[in-house]
Amino acid sequence: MQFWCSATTRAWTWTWQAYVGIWIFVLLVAAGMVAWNRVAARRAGMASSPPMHPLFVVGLLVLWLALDWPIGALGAGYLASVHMLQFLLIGLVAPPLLLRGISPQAQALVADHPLIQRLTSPIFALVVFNATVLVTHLPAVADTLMRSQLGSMVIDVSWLVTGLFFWWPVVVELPRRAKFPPPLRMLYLIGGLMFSPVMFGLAGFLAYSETPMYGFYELAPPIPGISSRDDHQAAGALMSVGGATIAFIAMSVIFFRWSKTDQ
Amino acid sequence: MLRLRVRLVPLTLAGALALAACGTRGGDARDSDAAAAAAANGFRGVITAPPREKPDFTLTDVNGAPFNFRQATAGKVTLLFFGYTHCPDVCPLHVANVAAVLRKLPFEEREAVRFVFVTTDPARDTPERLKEWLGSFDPTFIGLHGSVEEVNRILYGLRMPPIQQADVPAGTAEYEVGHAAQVLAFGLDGLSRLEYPFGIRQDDWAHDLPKLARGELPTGAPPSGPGAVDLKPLGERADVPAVAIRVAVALVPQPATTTEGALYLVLRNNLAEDTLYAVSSEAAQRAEMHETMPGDHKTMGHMMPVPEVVVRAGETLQFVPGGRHVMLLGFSSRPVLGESVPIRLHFRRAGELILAANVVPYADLERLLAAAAASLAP
Repeated sequence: MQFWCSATTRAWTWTWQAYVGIWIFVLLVAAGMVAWNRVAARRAGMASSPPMHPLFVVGLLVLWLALDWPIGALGAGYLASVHMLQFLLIGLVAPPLLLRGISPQAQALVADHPLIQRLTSPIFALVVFNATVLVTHLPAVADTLMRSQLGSMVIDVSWLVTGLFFWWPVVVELPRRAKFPPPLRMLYLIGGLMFSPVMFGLAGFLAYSETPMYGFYELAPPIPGISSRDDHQAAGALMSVGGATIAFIAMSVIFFRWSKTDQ
Repeated sequence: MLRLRVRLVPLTLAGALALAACGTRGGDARDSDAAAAAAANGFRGVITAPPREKPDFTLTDVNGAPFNFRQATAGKVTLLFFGYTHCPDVCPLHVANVAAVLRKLPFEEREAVRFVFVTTDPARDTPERLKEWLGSFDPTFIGLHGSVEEVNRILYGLRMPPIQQADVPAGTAEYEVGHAAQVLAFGLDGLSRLEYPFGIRQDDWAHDLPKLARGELPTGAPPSGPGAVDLKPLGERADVPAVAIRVAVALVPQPATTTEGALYLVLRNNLAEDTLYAVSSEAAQRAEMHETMPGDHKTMGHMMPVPEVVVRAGETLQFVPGGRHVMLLGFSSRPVLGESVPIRLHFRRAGELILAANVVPYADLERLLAAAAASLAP
């Protein structure tokens, strides 16, 4: 039994493995959100907190799916392409869904705090998210951190946390706060995700570099039928196409909601 | 939006610079070692000292025909690897990485290279199986099949560890075979001056193979002569030079903790065959002889205990990184640079040899070991 998925020298097996730290982490996220909503409801004078948004539960499931066996184990130690899928799920899919779980009272509870305002301001969030994506995908950093459970956890958690910052301006709407209008949100997603130079640069290096970028994937126990080169190319394609697709879906939602509001 | 765009510029530049700096390689610790090695000798492979001569043996190829290794690969850069097709890690990675790099080389350079895979698992690796498995990587790769005894003789001649296989009940299909993890590279002149241990990446092969194909040799030959070696005999039996076993060097790279460290040494048996059956040290709770093996999936550089080592008459025995070595476990205090660690080598015939292993920086280890080996060369 391990705490977190990390690179390993064992040959891949479809035998289920337990990762206790991941269960604890997912439970903590769920419990934290419930507690936050309860406290906010109590402070707002409500008898009980509103029911949890179903999308939050979906987000929690996505997070768990991305972190735990088999995706987590394959991504952490064997295939760069699955690692990229993990990144998309943890950094780009789970955060907006999890943010839907924050009740308006809970949002209001923290929204006026200067630190939260700074962390979730669009420019700051965009820069921090892209910088984190860049740093955690640098071969030197990934090759070092992914070898340990703690390092692998740091990477996963940094994606989630900065993903929450990144998506906050898009998902969270506060009546008292300056509006981040839909056209700007769409531009934010275009610049920060769909055509992010960081995402595109990394995807390009992964897909077109002469030799595999990451040592721990190149030298990982091979999975029959998948060469290291193909795996890296798939990772590059997934990063650019996946990121753009998620941005497109989010922009579509923003656009249709906006047009509905206008009508 | 303008502000947003303006603030994105440094991010983009930082990203581009960072990626340009890291290039297309990973940045693990081994990279810096490889870079240092490359700076020292122009190659990313590990220098073998003294060079190995291309062995003259005949085994059966995948078509059932006899294959004389020396004749058939004469005038070619020859990569020789001993492994098995059911290997879960080291073998397919070496073969896949060499194949991937060869595919990208120009025709002339590719044509100058031969990759020969000798199976260490003849029971399962039939010629048909070898042909199919190697063909899935590169159909030009040469697979050779021989008995365990034949292959062990070749390995012995190459100063490599023999095939190690636990007793497997009859009919068992899944088992592992211990074997050396390095690829030997024989140059156009038929000498192997370089070997490529596990951990060598495609980038390293892409760097070295064209140079080998052009007939380039590693520069900066290892320093020779006993001057580089500082052997300190200890105690009453300070008679190392007089006995049959001459220890040219014994080195302990400075360990990071008191938990464990490694001892490397180079010795030569000048008289009759002898057996090194134990190593001990007053400075450590335990000393165990190990061999680096691909092993049982638990670690990539799996260490297999070696109960004893036979040293034939006239043979030079090397305990070097990536091969045989002695693990010193539980130091009473952490050895520091400049100190020496008392070591006792227990031989069946020569008895107990007492010596001092100098504590050295890891960076100096290969140079000192190579110098010691060169000093013992006939």
